[in-house]
Amino acid sequence: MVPVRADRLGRLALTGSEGRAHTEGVLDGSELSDLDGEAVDPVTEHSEGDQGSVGDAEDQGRVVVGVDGSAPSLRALEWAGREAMHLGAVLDIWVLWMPPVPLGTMAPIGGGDYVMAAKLMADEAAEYARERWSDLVVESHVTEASPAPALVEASRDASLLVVGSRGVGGFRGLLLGSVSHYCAQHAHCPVMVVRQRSDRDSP
Amino acid sequence: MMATAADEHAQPLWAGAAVMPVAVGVDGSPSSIEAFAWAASEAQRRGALLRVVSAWQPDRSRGSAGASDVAAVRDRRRVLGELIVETIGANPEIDVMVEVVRGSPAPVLLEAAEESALLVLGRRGRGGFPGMRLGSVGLHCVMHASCPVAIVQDPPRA
Repeated sequence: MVPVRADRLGRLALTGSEGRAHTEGVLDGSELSDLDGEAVDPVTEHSEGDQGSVGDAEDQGRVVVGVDGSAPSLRALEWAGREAMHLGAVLDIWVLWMPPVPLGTMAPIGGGDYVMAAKLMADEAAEYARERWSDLVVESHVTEASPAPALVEASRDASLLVVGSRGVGGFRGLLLGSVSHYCAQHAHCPVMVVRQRSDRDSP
Repeated sequence: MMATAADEHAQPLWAGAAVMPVAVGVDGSPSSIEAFAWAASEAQRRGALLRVVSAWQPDRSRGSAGASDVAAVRDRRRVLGELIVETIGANPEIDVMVEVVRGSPAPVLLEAAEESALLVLGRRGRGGFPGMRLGSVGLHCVMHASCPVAIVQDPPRA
């Protein structure tokens, strides 16, 4: 088994149901810091009094976000964190992964790589969220499962599910991925679909 | 740059506000009423203005025009007003703005999204059929809106 370094994360396919491996979506500082400059509504004050303990936060509900390292999913994380702050809810980060379908001559990568990459991604996402919103209770889950049904299942006891418009399984130009489409149709709670930053989004 | 009186008049209500408004598409369907209720609490959490956006197209099959269009729009506004009061009460803690906009739903909602922090929609509007999971308008908005779109699940069936 080849050890996974953080800088290889983007090369590992954490796929949606499209089952395509490709190299977009490295979860690194540049992607995340890119979000900081965005013109956003400030987190309102009134939710902060409710942050006393995990128990309190549990009562306030749970914001589930699916993260796969794609740019829209990182924006989804940003939005999910803000929404969790607004709601006084727990931020629940889910990294779902599936071994990709081998394509052509591409050598299959050992299964351990995916587990480790997925865990790294979840840890990085959680660490980012805890730094960004110090009052926020952050949890993370890493599971080998088809992302769409897994997120729908996770939405069962959630106040909100946040997904990127398309994940790493999507291709450039694809506006809505199968995961976000499925979630919008089947989730048990409201679903927020966040697109990749567009020009119109700029501050 | 100095703004003229006319420019000021053209400024949207939320100009200068610290937070961008939350927009919700309401066509009177049960889905859209559920979406409105969720959007209202979301706007309250954010301290944002709530824009209730309703696309309206004249019903030419009845040969209506001119004055009757004005009446129809006034009617729509009244229905929306009643719906708002029924759902969040007559004295809500948020500012609510009703916008009846002439046009088909998807472009009207996309335009509202341009100046909103969030667009909230029900799963399907009046055009959908039972069993349909996500209406074409919702899907179109999720794909094209410039802001995040929240799709609110249908109310539990009675």
